[in-house]
Amino acid sequence: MRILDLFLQQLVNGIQTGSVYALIAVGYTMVYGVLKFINFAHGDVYMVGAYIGLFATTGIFLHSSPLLQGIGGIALSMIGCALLGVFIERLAYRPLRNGVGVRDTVPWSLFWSLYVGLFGGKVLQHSLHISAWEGFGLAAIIGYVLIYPGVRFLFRLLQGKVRPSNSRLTALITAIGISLLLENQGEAIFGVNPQAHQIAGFNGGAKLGIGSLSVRISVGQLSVLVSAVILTIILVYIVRYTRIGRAIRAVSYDPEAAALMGIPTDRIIAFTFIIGSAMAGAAGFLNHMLTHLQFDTNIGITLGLKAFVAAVLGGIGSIEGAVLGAILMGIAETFTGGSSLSSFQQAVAFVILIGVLLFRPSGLLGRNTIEKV
Amino acid sequence: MIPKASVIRNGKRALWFAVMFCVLAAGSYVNGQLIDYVSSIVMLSGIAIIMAVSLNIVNGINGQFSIGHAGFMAVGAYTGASVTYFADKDILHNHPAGVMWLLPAVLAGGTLAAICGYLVAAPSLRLRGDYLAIVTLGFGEIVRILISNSSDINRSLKYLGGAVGFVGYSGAYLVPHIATFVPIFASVFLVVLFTRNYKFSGYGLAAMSVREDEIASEAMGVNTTRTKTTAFILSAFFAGVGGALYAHQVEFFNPLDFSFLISMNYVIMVVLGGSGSITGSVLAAVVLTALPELLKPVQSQFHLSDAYRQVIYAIMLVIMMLLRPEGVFGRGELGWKWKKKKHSEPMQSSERVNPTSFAPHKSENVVIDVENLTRRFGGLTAVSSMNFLLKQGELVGLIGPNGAGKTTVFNMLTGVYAPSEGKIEFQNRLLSGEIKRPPLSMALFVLRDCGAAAIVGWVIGTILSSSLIPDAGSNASLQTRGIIFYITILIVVIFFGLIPAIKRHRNLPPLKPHQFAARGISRTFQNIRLFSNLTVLENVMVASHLRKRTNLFDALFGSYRLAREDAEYKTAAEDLLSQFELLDVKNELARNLPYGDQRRLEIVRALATKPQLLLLDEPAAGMNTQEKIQLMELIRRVRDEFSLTILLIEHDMHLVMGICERIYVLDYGRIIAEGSPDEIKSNPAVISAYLGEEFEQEPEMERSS
Repeated sequence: MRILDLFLQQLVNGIQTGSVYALIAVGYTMVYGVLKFINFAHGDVYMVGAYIGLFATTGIFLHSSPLLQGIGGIALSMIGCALLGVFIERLAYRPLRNGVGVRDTVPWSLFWSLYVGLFGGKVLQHSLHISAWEGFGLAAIIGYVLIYPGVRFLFRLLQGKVRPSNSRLTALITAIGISLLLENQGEAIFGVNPQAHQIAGFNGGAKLGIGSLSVRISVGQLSVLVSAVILTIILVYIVRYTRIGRAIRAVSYDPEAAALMGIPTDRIIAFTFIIGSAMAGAAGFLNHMLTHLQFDTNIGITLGLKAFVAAVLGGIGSIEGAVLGAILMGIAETFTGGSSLSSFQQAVAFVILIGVLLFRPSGLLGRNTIEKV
Repeated sequence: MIPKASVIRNGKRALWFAVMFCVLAAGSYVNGQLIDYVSSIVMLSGIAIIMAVSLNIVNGINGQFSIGHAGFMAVGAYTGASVTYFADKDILHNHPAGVMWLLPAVLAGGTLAAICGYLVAAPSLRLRGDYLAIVTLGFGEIVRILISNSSDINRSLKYLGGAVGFVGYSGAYLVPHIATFVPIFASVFLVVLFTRNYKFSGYGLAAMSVREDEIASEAMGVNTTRTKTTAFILSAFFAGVGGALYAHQVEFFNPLDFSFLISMNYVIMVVLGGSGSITGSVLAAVVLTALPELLKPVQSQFHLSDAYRQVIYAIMLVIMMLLRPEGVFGRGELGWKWKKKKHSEPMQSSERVNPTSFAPHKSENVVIDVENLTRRFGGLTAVSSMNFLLKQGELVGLIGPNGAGKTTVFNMLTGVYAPSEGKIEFQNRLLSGEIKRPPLSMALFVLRDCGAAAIVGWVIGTILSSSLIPDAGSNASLQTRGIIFYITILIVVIFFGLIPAIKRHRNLPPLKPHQFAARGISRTFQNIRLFSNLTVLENVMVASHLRKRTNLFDALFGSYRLAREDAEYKTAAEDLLSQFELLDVKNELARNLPYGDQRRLEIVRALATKPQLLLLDEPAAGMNTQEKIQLMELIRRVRDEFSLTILLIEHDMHLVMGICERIYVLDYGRIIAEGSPDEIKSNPAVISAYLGEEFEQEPEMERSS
């Protein structure tokens, strides 16, 4: 049966695409859960994950075995993105939430010292004849020491002057600012040319047969799928069965009540960013280092939007929903891509989204909340 | 106390004219003088003003959340360019009158965008908050992708140019450059003027009340769905106008000019300018359009790549949001100053009211008759088979333990919830209960739903059939394709069109709360739901929406009819406020009132809808003894002066026993007792379910509930 074969093949491809969306979507859904705002910078964290993966596999782990490249790369991507995520939270979202004050000195000093490192590093590199990384580090440290008192002074002046904002529009604009920042800073550093790199050893393929049916799947695709499943299981375990997961759920249910119960909400929110961003970093690595997919610094916007749509589709705030929505979307996209409507592949996500929202406004697995009067 | 707000408001009109006139004059002067680069930036900021101000109607004034504004702009741009594409080229390019073609282009662009706005708004405005945002985002992206692949839809759309950009006719001009200074700034002027008129009309007030509290707004008789749809259509129309102007200004454009990031740019303008503030939007639009250009010298000075300009912009954006979360220019227009004011004197000298001293003027007319009223939430039956009736002029209490279903009854009586069973008859008219839809109307609705399902089925069918049978070479495969295609459509139409439609459209939809309000039922809320960022006067004036005789065009053009009507309603509202000693604080924001005044204002606001039946949900909650005594007097006065029937929920037994003539006791969704206060006090069932044994001896204990 050719039709069934084709159907199955498309299904497998779709699930593989969907599994990557799922890894990004869980980050959106978790952050939305605790902070109730759309973290548009999340897609760009994914982009950074892909670039870290590129540097890990073509730099640090270049001469290792494919397996070590894969494991080392994904670990670095996840750690790097987790740090980035929590940095963004401390830099922008927390001051927005709690009001600007002296406690924001460290992230902001760090932020500016990175720029000192970026520009001053080159000068040091040439005058002291050290490597680019050493130059960057040295300049950044010097910058940090010099900048810290000034930033602290400024924040002390501002402390208590700015009322914290609970407007979601404000948070959204801030997220877009961060997103623009990451994207363009990325472009300034990595250039505009698209990159593509597949770790050698992941390009082979295999034919899987069940009875008379057969499906082709590449090693890369299979690894992406398996890794995504493992990561999702770990994530669900953390959120469902650990203390910190319970705290996350409590904060997302009612942050004020959670705080009154002794849960350090700010720390839990930071942890949520760590997990979500690590997942996005993993997705960036898996999707681009294990397959031939091209990427540039603007990839975050497109993929991020789609992953977000997937999260809404499944019911935003629900992790299982995000995974389900992402897989459905992956399948729908693959089928559209193989059909005569293939030029509208990019639109199908949004069409599905609108359709679902009109019939089930809270998403597939979302809870329906009635406003109390 | 000088009524400050009204002074500023009246002065603003003149100010607007002055500002816009200066811009126009400067524009026409600059037009001939400055280099193209600067003048094009000035014109683009004009278009940005149109976009930001129009988005402000939805995001700021109406409090909804649209992030697909560039989609409407795209519709306007492509429609407008298509209109001039079919125009006489000779006149367009060589004749000064060519500029006249801009008028049909702009109107067509605006109209089609408005139609798209309606199509987006009608089904999705019932979604709240972020979900609406996502639908608009989806719309924006779909429009962009459809235009990018326009030639795949239909060969005749090839002139749109797809992803390459608008092709039009080949040659020097892609789109005629006819949108110059005067037409652009005339449009800017009109859009700003219309938006301003809208904001300060009854329509704008209704829109702002929706932003403040949608449920309270419905209860005051505002048709929130229609208000939101109107705002959305208006906003889309102006965006279409902006798009058409943009097309004829830049001459060359492609779908990426209307991407998601562009939409976000307009959202940023609205937020930075302060949501709801037209002045702010105008300023933010100009600043944000000029800013990237102003950063150009900085960039070249330090030999930075182009990306760094965006980096600087992004960092500035984040810092601005951190330092001024309410927007750089704040929410209000031109710096309103709200002075904190000593709250007004208590209503009247308080004297102990003798519970038996009232003189009820009852009649035997039944105001409301409720039969078998039932409401289930999932497995929980909050109210079950409740029967009661109220007669003209009665003052009746509804008491019972927490969770007995009292507020649910109120919500059904005001249309917030539709009853699961039973009927409500108000002044001999059925307000709720199953009413069969006439067969013809039902057929039309079913047809509409099936049509929508057929479109969805067509898309899914095409995708499925063509992706499963990629090559349509042989007859056999073509046949299979056809089978898959039609079966898919059939399944979708039956299961997502026909069956749900028959279920849904069998009965007429339940009346909405605003229709209940229009029929004469008004209410207050358990936890105060005033429009907290509107003034006291505006809170009361929202109710005048019910009796409005002017239409949207009166509002946009600021007609004389409207001004007269507004004055009339303002006087009426002030009259009402003065009866309740709230006139002194009429220009105070509602949220700045002391608690007791807020409670009182809620009752006044409810009275402004001219109700027959007033429902008070725990009016004494949080009040001290003194305030409660005043409240009792107030309730009685209201009932007598406005010849109302009043049903009130209250836990304070002194108040209930003191003023109610009849009391219903609710427990677990059922009425367990009914009668005069004395009968209730001694009813054993009531004592065991609610009052408790101590009530007879120690009435003071009861107040803590």
